[in-house]
Amino acid sequence: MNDHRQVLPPPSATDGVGDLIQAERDQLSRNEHIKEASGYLRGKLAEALLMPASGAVSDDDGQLVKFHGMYLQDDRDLRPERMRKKLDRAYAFMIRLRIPGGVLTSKQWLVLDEIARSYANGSLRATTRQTFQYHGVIKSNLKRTMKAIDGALLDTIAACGDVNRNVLSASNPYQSKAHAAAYDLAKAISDHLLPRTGAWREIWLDGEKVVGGEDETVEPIYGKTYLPRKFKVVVAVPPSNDVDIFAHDLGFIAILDEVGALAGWNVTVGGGMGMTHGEADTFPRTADVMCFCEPEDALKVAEVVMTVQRDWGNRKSRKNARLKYTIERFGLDAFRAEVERRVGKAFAEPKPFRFENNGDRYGWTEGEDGRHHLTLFIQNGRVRDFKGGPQLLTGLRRIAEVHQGEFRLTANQNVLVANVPAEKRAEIEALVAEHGLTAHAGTLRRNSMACVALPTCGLALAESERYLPTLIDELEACLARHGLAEDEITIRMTGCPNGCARPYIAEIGLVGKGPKRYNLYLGAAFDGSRLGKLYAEDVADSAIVEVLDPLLAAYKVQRSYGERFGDFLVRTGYVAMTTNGPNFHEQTGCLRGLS
Amino acid sequence: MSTRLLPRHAPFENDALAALDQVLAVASRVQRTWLLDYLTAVSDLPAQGTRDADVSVGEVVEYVNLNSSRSDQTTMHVAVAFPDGAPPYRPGSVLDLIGIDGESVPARVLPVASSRREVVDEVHALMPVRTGDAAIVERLRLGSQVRVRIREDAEFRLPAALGTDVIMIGVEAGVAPYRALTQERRALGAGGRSWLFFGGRRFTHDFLYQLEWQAALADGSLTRMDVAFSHDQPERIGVEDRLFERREELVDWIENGASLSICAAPKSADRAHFGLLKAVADIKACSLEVAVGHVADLASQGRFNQRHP
Repeated sequence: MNDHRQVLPPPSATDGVGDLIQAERDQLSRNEHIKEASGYLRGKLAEALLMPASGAVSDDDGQLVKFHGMYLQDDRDLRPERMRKKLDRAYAFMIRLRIPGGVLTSKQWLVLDEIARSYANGSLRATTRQTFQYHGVIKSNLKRTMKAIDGALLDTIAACGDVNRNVLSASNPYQSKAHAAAYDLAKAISDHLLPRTGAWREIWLDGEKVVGGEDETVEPIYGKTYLPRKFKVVVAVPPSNDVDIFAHDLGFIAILDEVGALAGWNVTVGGGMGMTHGEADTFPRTADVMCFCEPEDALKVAEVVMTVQRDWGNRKSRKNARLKYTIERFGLDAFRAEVERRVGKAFAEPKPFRFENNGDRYGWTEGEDGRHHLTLFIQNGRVRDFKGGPQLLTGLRRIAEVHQGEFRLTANQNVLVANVPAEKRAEIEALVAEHGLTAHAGTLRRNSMACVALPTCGLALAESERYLPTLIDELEACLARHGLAEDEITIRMTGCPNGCARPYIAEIGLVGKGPKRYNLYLGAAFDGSRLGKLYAEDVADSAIVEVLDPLLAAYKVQRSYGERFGDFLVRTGYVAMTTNGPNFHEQTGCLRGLS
Repeated sequence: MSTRLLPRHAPFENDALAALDQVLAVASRVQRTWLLDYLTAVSDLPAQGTRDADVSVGEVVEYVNLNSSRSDQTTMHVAVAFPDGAPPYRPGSVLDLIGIDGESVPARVLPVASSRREVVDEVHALMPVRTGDAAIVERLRLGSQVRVRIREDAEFRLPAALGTDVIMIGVEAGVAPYRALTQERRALGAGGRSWLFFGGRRFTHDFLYQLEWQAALADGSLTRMDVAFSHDQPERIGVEDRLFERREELVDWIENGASLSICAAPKSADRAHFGLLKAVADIKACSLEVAVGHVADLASQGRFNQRHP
């Protein structure tokens, strides 16, 4: 790929593509300069760690630590009192792991559990992208934490930042062979697209500094300015869309032959969630299914899709830098042509496939290979011991102490205890019962997700993880009144429009607008293939149930057999259908009178 | 020589103070008492007789717990304003809190945490709240009229010489005198370097005066800082560990004439003292007994002292 790197204009591109990119290169965003000057992500981080009076790092280094898998945050609950008490903000780091496919051994689990109790806030937070993150790790504990993570043969490289992030793979516990193929591809992509800079080992593990070297040897795929923006890859196995493939930059859909063996992959490109309130040229977008590729071409396709984005992506405006905007600007055809040119072959059209849902199936299942799998619901992914509630941290630690299979984190913030031999099942069931791990959760709750938001996330405009459980209490009461308590409806909340919990493809999407205020999105598809539409703007939290109540009443009475809530609202014309990103902001609001 | 020291606000006062300290270091007890009494009479230095200082009445203008609301400790920062100017005091002084709003309270001795040269009409003191402080805690509030006596602790003399390097070792409220000294040295433009070792329980919740130390490091009035927080990691880490970690530079500073001072509760002070001895013993390749001798020498030269807040 070296012959294509950062070469402008791309040889196959039209003059328009080259001119546009060239113009943007003359007005690079601040982050591009930070990356360029960082010496392959080193910056002044090593020095910042030696400044004991401050728990923070500089703004520029704050951008660089993302590439190392962490964000500088502060406890926003404590902000008002700190100045008065002559204390700096309560800075601490969020540390996100890189766990391809979300697969962990029991041994690794035990190390991660110990880190959570020693250096973080006593919890492991399962994310929406099959990994764990820690909150509340103070600067003086960063190196210890990273060394402990390294001791578990894990790392945090590229868990955040303008690089290929953690690669997801279907958690599917049924089709063992297809899961294995999906996991293998996810792992291979994760390894292949991993930044090669020695900065991480050098800074966190006191590794030896390797000086010098050209792009070709230090970062053969990325170069010194990495990507214009984050890049997210997933691998799905139909009929489950548990990885939410349409919400990611690049996806592979397993196409199986008659005997259930892998025939190849449909390739999806250009999905993404983030947008900015009030800026119509930013929007979530569902991925296009671009082509079909043979199993042996998949890794190359992954690399090339990423490097075309590296070269064509917008480096002037970070708000328009994701692959979804690149595809909107240059068109899917031009993008595909460049990918095929760089791979050196033309691809077939996509094969038929069908997704049924984007959630997890809970409880015990048995795979094709006779192994047993237990999917546990973890509310908002927060693995900790709740006073008077489930003892998730302790319970899962106890399971890890006896479990010889593996754990899989799902893209829905849940945990799967995988590959349990039949004779071990009773022992694990006893631990599940002892620690209340499957304490009753209603249907809506089991189909819910929330991002972290307050108090740690610096981007949050409103509560999310701390508020959604309460809202669901009220909504479940409302659903019960309408006789809908057992109906599966997806609901997701985020504290800001960046969309970590993928709210725009939930049937009920709530996005923080300001303290206690949310934008309500409705009409998305249950299988995650269609975006919702802004239904009500800036709704007070106390009014959310009131707004939804008449729609749920209508759904109960007017739906056709098996019709999903999101589909119903679109069919009956309460909300306009969002066909894709560019019309996400059109025809918003309630389009039909409510009785 | 001494007569040249005396004029109030004289331009050479700073150097004079330095010279005075040298005089005091070698003076006999009687000579010292005489000198200090004489100086007090003619300058703005505080009265020296431990119980004879005047009682002043001031108003509490700042009363805030410096520990975060998530801390299990309470350390009150008490700022008292005196409309007609604060009584004279020097870094290292203590404040006896005698009465609140016209009522007597069981006398409480608080370490002074400010320099008059910076806060002018105020005195700041730290009150680590312990069991037994109920009577004070119940009554003291913003706006309280307090009766206080500010006096020197005869056993605790902070180095006044501005050209001298100082190593300050403070745990929890023991950091008070070093805030005073840092303010003083900033106000007078001290030429010597300063190095603060601060210890507490948790970085996020117990870092007393964190913002001020950051500012002091930025403006150069504090040259270096090391911190130790005992509850931030599985094993206990205290200032003694930092002293040992930094032993090479620490001994280097001492050999260059630095003064040392420890202010901490008895247990912590003992640990810090032991850490210092270990550091000296390690660098000088001597036994702990010999290191004790070195530190005793420093003490006899007036370059090492220790107090409990």
